Amino acid sequence: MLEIQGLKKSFQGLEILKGVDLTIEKGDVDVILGESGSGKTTLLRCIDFLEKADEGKISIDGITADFHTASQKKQVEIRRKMSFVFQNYGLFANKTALENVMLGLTAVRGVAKAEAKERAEEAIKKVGLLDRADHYPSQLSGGQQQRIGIARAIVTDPDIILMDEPTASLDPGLVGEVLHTIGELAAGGTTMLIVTHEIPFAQSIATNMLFMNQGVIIEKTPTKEFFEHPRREETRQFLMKSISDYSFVI
Amino acid sequence: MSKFDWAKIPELYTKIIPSITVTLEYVVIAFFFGLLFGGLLAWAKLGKSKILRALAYGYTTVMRCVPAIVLLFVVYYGLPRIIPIDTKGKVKFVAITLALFTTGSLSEAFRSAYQSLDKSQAEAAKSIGMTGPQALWFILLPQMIRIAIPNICNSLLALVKEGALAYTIGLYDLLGRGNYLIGKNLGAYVIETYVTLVIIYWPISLLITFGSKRLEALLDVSSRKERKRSAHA
Repeated sequence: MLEIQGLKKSFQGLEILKGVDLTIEKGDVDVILGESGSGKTTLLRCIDFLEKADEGKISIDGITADFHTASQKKQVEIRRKMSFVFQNYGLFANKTALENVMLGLTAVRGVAKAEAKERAEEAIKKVGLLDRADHYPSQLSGGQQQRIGIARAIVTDPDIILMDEPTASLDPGLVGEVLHTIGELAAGGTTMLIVTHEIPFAQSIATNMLFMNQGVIIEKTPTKEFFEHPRREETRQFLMKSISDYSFVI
Repeated sequence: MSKFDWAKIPELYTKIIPSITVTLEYVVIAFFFGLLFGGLLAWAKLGKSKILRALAYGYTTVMRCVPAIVLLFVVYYGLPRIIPIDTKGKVKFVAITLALFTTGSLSEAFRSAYQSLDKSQAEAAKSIGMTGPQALWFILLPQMIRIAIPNICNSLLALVKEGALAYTIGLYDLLGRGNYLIGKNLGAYVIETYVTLVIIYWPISLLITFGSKRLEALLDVSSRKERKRSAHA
């Protein structure tokens, strides 16, 4: 459903993505693991055209575009098929939680206000924050803000949701509620591509695990197999370092 | 030396105050075009084109370095030589001068407000599928305006005060009218006249300052909400 080919991106001569190929099937929840600096966040940002890639092609739901040469119009068209959940939530500071969720429908997709409100409230209900709908972001905790961010992402019924370390900015005590919300989305069949460092969580919800190393995805393996028999030595090293009681079978 | 005559002030006040329409006329016109061109200039400063950026910054720098009165004379004596423009309606020369001036400072107010916004706001707007203009209209501008208000207020105050230079080209705005009355009174009641002007200018400036504070509070959505809630508590 989402296909990326040969994605390359450099920052000031330093090549961060060195030709990423990636396919995600409808209904899959794929989680990307990798060392800091391996390019995970840059990959997600390039897919959503938040960062302009140097090379590569994207194909989603029948639309194909070149990352480097896609027109503004094409970029907007592709973005509207996806949603993005930011590490720092990125809620609109001048809008209430409800307005944050509604805007993608009213302002962007021309949905009538009454219908948009209904759908937005439904999305907010899914993340369990209906009683906070009239609050501004500054009046919500980090975990609540991120759950509203997730409501904003699901309300437009995107083909895929990209999540960039959705719990990395949260206090440890608030991580659970956000992971719980994401877990429910996964159970509901939402297609997602998630970058996270929460390995046990990834293990519990992912369809496939992707391992990224030095700007390329070096393996994509069904989750159970990924943890039991990682194919690559780099993956093995990473898992051993990240999970204290980790053991694998060769 | 004659004694200060308080009793004279109400009379002077009623003679001078009708000229406030002239002062307000050039202030409002200059402010309107200042906002318009200041916005365009800020857009040029933040844009990708190096040439436009250089021009916009160059303009701002030049305007900062010229005394307002010099610019007024350049416009008043210079403009009619370049374009066919009627020299009789003097208020337009003042309005043009002030607009040229305030465009520079307002563009800086907009530019700094834009740059102070968190980058995440624009990115989140893009991520929900907004086009550039949609992001600007729904998300960025409302936040920018609140941040820019104190600087916009300063520019407006400067307009009111710098505008008083208009009397040098013989425009009968507030100060012009005051000076005219002094001449008519053969130099009598000079201090009384200027004190009257202080009494007139002062509330104008106070009103602008107060208005900007109110507007700022009104646009600060989060604090408004909190105040409402604490009133319930």
